[in-house]
Amino acid sequence: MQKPPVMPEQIITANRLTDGAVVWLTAALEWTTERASAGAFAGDALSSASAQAQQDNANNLVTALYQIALDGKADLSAREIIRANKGPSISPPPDISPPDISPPDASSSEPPSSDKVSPDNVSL
Amino acid sequence: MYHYDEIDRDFLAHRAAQFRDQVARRLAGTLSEDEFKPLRLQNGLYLQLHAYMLRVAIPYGVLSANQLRGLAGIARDFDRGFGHFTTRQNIQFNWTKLVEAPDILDRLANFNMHAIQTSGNCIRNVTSDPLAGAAHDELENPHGWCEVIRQWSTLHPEFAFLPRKFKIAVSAGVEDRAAIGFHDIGLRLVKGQSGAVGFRVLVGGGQGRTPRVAQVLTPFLAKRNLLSYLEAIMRVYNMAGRRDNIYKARIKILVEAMGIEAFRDAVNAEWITIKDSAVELPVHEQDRILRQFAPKLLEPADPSDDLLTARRVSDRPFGRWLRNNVLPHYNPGYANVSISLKAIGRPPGDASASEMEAIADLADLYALGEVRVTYAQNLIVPHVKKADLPAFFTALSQAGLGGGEEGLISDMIACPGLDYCNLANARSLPLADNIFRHFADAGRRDDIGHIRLNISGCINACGHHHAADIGILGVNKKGVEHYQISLGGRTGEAAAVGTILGPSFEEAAVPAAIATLVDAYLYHRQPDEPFATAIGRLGTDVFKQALYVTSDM
Repeated sequence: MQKPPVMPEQIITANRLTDGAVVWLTAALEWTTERASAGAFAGDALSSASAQAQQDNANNLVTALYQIALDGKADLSAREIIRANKGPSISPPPDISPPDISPPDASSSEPPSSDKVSPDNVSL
Repeated sequence: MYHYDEIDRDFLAHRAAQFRDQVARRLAGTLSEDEFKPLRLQNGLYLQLHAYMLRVAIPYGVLSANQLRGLAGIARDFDRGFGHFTTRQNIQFNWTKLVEAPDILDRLANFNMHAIQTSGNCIRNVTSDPLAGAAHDELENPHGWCEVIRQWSTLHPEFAFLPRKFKIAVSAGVEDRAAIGFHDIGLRLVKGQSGAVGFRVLVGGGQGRTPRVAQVLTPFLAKRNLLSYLEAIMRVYNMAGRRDNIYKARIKILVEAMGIEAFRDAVNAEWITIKDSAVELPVHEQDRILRQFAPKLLEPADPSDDLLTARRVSDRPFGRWLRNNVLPHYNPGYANVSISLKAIGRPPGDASASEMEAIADLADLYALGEVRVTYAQNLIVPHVKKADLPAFFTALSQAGLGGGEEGLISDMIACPGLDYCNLANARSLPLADNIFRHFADAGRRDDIGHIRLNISGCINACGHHHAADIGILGVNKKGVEHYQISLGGRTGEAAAVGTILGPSFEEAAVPAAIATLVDAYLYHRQPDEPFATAIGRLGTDVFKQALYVTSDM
């Protein structure tokens, strides 16, 4: 007789409601932003963890709640790796102030007239 | 540009206050996520992979320099110091917090901007030609009509809950720079038989999983009937469009199911009941809006190229930029400057807060304080005197924005992909970077010439891969990111959907596969024959053979 398949352990993840940050449920049933601190749940522990997560979802601590099997597939997908890394795999341009752009010869170009940039004239 | 009045400003302030209350109720738990979601989407707020993303409407891609500075301030104070410009000429902030979203809307309202109708099943931000009012080839400025449509469609009670989202584009140039053939409704300003200018109306275009090119609904519509005709189209769609299946809910599916003739009959039957009624825009109101888009009063400017010619000889990067990114203006003493938001290491369409501020300063210093967002995720500063181009380029280069990539293989359109998006199957941004690095030699990019290469991270096609000379679609194959390549899509008069060439490639193999296609083109091209023309002449088999015989999948 074949053994029933063993259900892989699960991790539980969501986004924090207030800022959308990716969070995982720890073994202590608290939410963490560190993937390495996520609890791995099976059996009764999974039932308890899942119930706690559902309650936190209902209590508006988290949203977009789901479970992931630690089966080497979904948990290692590009999506989950990007979530665990807390950001994109390519960085946006850094916010560094460029040098002053004033023209070398001020007479070569008129500065903007004041009415052009006055708040009353800001338009859509 | 359209100038806000007190009514507009009061409306935005009220709307921001309304959303503040909705967010407070969500945080307090009196609104569930299911109840709150449609409310946040109506204000452009999505929950993405890492955070909330706010999509801010940039009406037909037009910003004042002050507004661009305002957006830079939001990027710095509420995001991580950058923003992402989209094909729909909007800007997205990827790292916003729900608790701060009301403050962002307040800030936006301070400089007459908002995020209304940037999501949801409503009429979205109308898009247009980024060179409108400054182009060398346009019949007349289409932006006034965009503004008419914007005002008509904003919070239009009948069209707030359509079967699905709805996108309208308007263009008036000989060259279609607004991809009108891929919109739910595309409007093209044309001259009728009597010589009067009106609209050619296209309907039923779109991308996504069922890409379709729009069909002509009427070859000529008088301007005075624009709103009643649009209203008739929307009513037919609102009543007959499918609501049972999200994948079959766009107007393109309805037009195809009915056939264009039956759809036209239905629109005309509705139109006849409202044509020339109170639905039409009163003439004085039309004039009030259009007056704000009257041609700019430009100072006389020297049309001579002598100064430019001298510098282009001694300064190769300037020469490249001048050739690729300086676009013609209707006044020979002026030019339109395209600023490439494409460079090695830069996700396509991303700009930092300081870069936005630098561009705003340049627009004030050397032009009329206006900036445009383009379909290809770049920025344009219109109305720059030719004589100021060298100084403009020097300042732009100092800000790290002196690249000359307009229209080249490096000028890729890419959606945010799996790096940010909840719907994506695969990443777009690092792939775009790897392709750019594969074509790192600027001389080679110039030699290859114009190629539209677009990347979408999933079948929703936000990266417009269907409409590209070379389209790349990210797919999930047994949990691994793969990319399908298509060829021969294009926007413009002869808009077409690209043809898939064959099995998909793993990410690492894609840049070499693109190079194979480019090499096949270089081998077969006739003198001065662009890539798109060569595909038309050669067909796709030559490229298919090159790709699948020579590359190791």
